[in-house]
Amino acid sequence: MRVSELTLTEAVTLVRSGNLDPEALVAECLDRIKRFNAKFKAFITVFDPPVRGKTRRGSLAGAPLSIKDLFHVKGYPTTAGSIVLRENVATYNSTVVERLLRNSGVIVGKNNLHELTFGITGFNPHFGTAVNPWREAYITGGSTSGGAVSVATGMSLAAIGTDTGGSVRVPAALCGLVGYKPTYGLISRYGVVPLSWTLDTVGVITKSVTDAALLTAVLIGRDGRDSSVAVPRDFRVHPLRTPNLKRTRIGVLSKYFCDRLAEDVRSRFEDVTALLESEGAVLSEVELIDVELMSVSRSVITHVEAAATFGKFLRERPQDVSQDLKARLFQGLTTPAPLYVNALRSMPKLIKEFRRSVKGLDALLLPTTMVTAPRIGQSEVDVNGVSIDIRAALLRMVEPFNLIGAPAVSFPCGLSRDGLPVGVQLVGDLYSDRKVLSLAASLERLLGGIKMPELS
Amino acid sequence: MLGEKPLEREVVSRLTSLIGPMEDIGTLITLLERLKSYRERLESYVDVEDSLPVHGIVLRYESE
Repeated sequence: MRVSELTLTEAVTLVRSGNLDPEALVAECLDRIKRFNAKFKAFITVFDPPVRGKTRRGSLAGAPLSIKDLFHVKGYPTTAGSIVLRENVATYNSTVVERLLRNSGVIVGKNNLHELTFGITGFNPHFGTAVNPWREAYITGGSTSGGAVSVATGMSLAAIGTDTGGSVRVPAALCGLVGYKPTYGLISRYGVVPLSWTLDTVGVITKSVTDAALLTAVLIGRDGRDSSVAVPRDFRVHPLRTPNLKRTRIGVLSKYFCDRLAEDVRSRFEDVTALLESEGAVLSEVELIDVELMSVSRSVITHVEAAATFGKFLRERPQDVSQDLKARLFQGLTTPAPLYVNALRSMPKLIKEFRRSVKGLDALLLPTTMVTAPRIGQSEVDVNGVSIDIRAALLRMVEPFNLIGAPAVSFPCGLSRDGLPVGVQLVGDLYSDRKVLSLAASLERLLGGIKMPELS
Repeated sequence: MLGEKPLEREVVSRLTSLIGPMEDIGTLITLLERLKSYRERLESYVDVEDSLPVHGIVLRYESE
């Protein structure tokens, strides 16, 4: 086994026991970046030598990590995936980067992403659209597209991204990885280019659920420089517990979420529910009230806040904004202010209704996407004979939980008949992150995981 | 075709100066219809007494 195939947890354990030199691990990842980045477009900036902190003794044990090119790393540009910001050199480190370095993480580069992080496909006309390692003519999903590719190809052991409407969970699902979006407000966004300050959440893409917990534990914490951060006393996500699935109460979100699923996604999802039942879990059908409104409010808030930040580029640098992005920024710029305010006003009620729906349950279960990875350049997908906009197909199952701020983790549950990964999602009540991750880890063990594709 | 009549040209010209170049006026129509639908749904959902929150504050309250 190549060392870059190790999970983050395995690598940390081997380094701590003296059985692995972390420098060998970093060297192998940098070598793979040299060999494969031109093809897969995982990185916008590569750090060789990598960026390190002063300490080599910390919970990340010198593991090579990558970070979405939205996070400031002092001395390097933060492009947010657009040439408009190519000269935007950071003068300070984001809090996330500080925390990684303080815990002996080694940053090997900044990952590619959807243009200005505003999109779910990973489309990037400036730095190239990241390529799915499972099939090269297919998308990775976005916006944390390069992060997923870098982990799936062994260019880094884990990646840090952001999730405003599914942007870590969708690329993780389409690339056969774990994507975890914590409860809103646990991780500082100081030094992160915003898309929507009301919804942006730092998240991680890893090879295992335990890795996601280990890495996130390093990132969580109060920060006086980001007033949205709120961490309950004694809050922890790591180490995970090992719950017995027997009598675990799982709410299956079939209505709305499973109305339209590609046959392979439905089939893999049914395998998961059957497995849970065979383990003695108690499954019940749950319907989320006003779920469509969650998506409407999320969409309105994201478009307006993104336009507030990036809208000026339409006037100042129109030639450097893709047609695709222009249309969405235009929507944000033309949205009436009362509509935006009403979307914000809807949030407490929707959160309250969601919490009422999950009361008495350990977690909710649903697929992560309606379809497996579509082809690069595809604008619509066919779901059982019905043509659906690609964005709607990728956002439908993930975006409602951004509006709620609920913790959600996507992990692989198998492959489609044509060999593409399928993701399943567990979602919990606010601040039930550890429970959700622990259940996901148990289920992940039972499912057996999937082997990453060999690169040529 | 949209944008050919004087008034439509004026609309396109003004929107272009306010927002940026508009290459497809047809998307504006679709967009306005979508926003109308969003407005109707949200207006019927929120009550007069609902206040304007900030997400972080809502969740901070929930965490206490």
